Amino acid sequence: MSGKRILVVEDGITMRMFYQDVLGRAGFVVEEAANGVEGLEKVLLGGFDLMIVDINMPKMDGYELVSRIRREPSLQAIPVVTISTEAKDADASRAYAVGANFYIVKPADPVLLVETARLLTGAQA
Amino acid sequence: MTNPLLARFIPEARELLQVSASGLLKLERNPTDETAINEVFRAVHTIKGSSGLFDAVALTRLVHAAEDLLGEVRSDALQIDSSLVDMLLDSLDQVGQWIDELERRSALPTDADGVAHRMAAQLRQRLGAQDQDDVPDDAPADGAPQGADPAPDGDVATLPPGFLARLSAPACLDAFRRACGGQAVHLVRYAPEPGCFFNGTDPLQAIQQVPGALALDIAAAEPWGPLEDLDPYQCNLHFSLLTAAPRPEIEQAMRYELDQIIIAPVRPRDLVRIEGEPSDGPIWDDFREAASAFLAAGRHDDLRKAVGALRSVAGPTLWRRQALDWLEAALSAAQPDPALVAALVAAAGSGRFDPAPAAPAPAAPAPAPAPQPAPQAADPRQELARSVLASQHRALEQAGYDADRLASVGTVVGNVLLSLGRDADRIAIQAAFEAAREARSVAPVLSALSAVLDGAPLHRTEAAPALPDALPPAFEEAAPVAGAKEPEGRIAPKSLKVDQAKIDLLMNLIGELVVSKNALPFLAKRAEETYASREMSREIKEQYAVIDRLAQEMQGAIMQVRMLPVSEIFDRFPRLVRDLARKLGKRIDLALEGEDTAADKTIIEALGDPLLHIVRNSLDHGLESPDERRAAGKSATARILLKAREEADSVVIEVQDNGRGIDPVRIRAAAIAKGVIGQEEADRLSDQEAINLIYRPGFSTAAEISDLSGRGVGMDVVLTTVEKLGGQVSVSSRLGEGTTTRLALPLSMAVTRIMIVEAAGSLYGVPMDMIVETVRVPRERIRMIKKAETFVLRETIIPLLRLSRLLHLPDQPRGEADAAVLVCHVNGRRVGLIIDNFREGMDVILKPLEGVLTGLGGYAGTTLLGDGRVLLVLDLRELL
Amino acid sequence: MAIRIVRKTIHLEGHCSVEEALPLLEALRKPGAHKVVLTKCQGLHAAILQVLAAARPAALTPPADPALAGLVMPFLDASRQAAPGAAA
Repeated sequence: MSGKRILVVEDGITMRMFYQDVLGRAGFVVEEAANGVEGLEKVLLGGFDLMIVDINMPKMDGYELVSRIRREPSLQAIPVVTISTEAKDADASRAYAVGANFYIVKPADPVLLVETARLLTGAQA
Repeated sequence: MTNPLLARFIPEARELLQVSASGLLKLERNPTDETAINEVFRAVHTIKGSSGLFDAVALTRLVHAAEDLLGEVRSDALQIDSSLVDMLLDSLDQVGQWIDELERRSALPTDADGVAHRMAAQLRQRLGAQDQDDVPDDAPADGAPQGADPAPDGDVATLPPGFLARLSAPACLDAFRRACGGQAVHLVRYAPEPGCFFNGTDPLQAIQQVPGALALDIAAAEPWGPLEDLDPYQCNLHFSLLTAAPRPEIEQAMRYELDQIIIAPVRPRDLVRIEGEPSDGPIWDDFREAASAFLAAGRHDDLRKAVGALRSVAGPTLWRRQALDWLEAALSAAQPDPALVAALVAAAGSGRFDPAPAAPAPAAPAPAPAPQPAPQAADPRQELARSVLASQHRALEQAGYDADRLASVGTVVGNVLLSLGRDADRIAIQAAFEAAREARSVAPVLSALSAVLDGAPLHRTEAAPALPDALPPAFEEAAPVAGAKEPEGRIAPKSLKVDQAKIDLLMNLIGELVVSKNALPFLAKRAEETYASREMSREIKEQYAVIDRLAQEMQGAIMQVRMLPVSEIFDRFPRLVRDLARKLGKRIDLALEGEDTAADKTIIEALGDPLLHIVRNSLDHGLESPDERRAAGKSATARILLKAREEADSVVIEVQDNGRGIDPVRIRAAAIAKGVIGQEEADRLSDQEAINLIYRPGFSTAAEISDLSGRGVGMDVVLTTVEKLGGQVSVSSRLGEGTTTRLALPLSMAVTRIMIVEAAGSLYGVPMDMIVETVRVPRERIRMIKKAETFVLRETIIPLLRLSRLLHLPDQPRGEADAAVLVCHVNGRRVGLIIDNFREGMDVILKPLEGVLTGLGGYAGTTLLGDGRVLLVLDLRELL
Repeated sequence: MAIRIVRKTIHLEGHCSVEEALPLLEALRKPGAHKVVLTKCQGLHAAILQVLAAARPAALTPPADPALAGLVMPFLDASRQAAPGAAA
């Protein structure tokens, strides 16, 4: 049990459940937000070790959310993984440019997802 | 369906499909509606993303094609029009069918791959047509450019051996599964011209354009000579691509290289490649015996079970276990190839694979029963760590010095090294970050990161951690991890999706509470009468008042939960009206109003069919063709308005059209012709009454019933359905101007107010909404007209019926001077029901009759009385 | 800009086009053990790929981009394992 807290920002209900399931079993505490605005509200409350952000979302998309996070002094240090169905270089570059730390293509392999979360939060296997 | 993730996906997908469909209709009307295109795009995008979690490749593929098309529309590269909307709606319908199939069988039908290919190709053709203006509209559907010779047909067997053998076993198994599932798998052999670099071709780029790639093998065409002799501008590469794309798509992608490729269809057996360690033991012998017997008997299901059972116990690295994987895939075909299955059964049984002798496959690679050392022993965790660190390096390099940016990179790099247990590196990197901040330059971090990346593999100082193969299977049904659910500081979700059944349970429990509460007045009465305690009786009544209020509030609250907006049913209509209008050649503008009006879910759900019928009737008979309308001086586009609003305790739904209206003269004539009424009665009817005839059973004004307004069912069904819900239907029409049909239904039907009556010595309930009034009629005022009893109430003759007779129970003559009469409004007329006595009114939860009683006519249901007795509630409509 | 040579280490970065095939070949023709670093490589032309396959550098660091690595590394690894002069 790592007890590390992850905020998943994703508009798809099924995908949120997938993250809860996979990351929850690996000992992470997973919280959810259904869009960028909700994600920003939650992450501002603090206490998260990692954010996993979907790119294509209503209200505020992933790029916008990440760039806003990076403008918040209290959130500059939080690792952010962006996740998208697009395997295009341009999308990944844009995510890195706005401040993401890693880019994963959906649907993520559960093992890869757990390992990524462990590495980025400093949790032990 | 045992997979909870799939169970979650299905309703989500349906909702998103609905959103997409209604968005598309908005777009069709207003192609520049940015909100609509974004909504549709995102909905389709989310389906695509989530569907990737399941074994539903065909579904994902089709949704992906739709998404690409929508992406073009969104970026204004493609203009949306009706035919495009048709195509997209058809695709979404197909996806909807697959969702149903996933719900039923947790798998897509076997033809799904083919269907997805065909539909996706159609969508993509639209995509391609946009940037190829020279392609005429009637270009061949296979998408191959005109004038070019098709690529030669190859046969895997005639290709030099070894192409398939070089592909990885997992890739081959994947291809094998697809091939067994009926999907076409092709091997594309691409031998670029040696001089192709000079005409700007990058063969590596070209081959990657082929969709559906499963595996790619690159090889030198001629062995490499000494480096001094190498001409870097002469292409010496050959490519072999295994793809799940159909031939036209391959030809389209490689249209400039058609003379340099060979496309060979690959049969499943060509793909079989089994790897792993040898093993032996009695289980394998047992399996061979059992499996051979099942195979001989054609018992594929039993064979599947045997394979599944053995797979779950055999070590995954064993050669024979791998053979089982292939066998399972072969058996998953709708019509498994017997020779192939037999060969694989023999392989699992013997530890050797011999391609089916019936059809030799020279290209099938030799079996590899000997253990093979894994060629890439790289630890995925290390690879991932490397990739994460490389990403940080790249991001920093591109961003340059940015203190804000450095913070998260610092966290990530530190965490990765911490996670790997590389404390020394971590301290060194931390120092580099300090240095970077001081120097306001990313250089120290970049070089430290490069050192870590280029240096020794990122190994943990102690034992390298094994990949978590103990990670439980992610999608199996299992209890959620305790402690992961309720972290402190959790914010309450704003909304909750609750299973319908749970609401129904709550509803029933509250119903029970209401009934139990009704026992209190009985108790109060007993306290007073039997125990002579007025005091106690009054206290009970006071308590009763409190509980009654709370129960009512609870009931109100749960009713609110059960309320659904009428948009649940309204939302189907834009699509329906659009499709029907196109079919009928009419131009119709549908408007919706008051979609937020809510009513109990039972009402909403039951309303769908009647409303559908009314709208179809309006489309079919009410609205004219554009020519007819123009001739009548009306606008060519007709209008239907669906309008909902709340009125007192009812939800009122109106369907208004501005069509030709209902002609009372024609209705009368038709009614007489059909024998619904006689000439005399017809003459007596007012115009409004004539119009109401359309609700009589067996009436239909159209000369023939069209397939649209359906299967010979008249509007009487609408009336029946709505009345069953306790509602009313009325229709008003002005000739030449249009028709309005009005449905009024109770907002909620969960609680029924009844009056308890006595008849033939028993108690019965009568729904209060049927009762007009209760009167006591002196015996002498009951008159016999012909053989029927009647009485006059305020100058109206009211026929009298005896409830006991209706229920076929013996009359119990009572010596009283007057009769208790319940005046009811049933089936549009008033009747007096003679009963023995009136009792109290109460709110009850009606339960439908169960078991053998189900078929019993005349009863609306049962309810439990406060003293525990079961009360039968009458259905007067049926009884009279 | 895509090819950067630091002593015996050749860095291929970004998108490596056909024009870089000749400078790459010349660098690899120089005697000694060469190291090629593809970490920052984001894409390469078939001409580059075949020079790398033919030259069999002593050390090869794969691209960080997993898609690109998956595309080219099996071929390059196989070429390096093959004995000089033998068929690939």
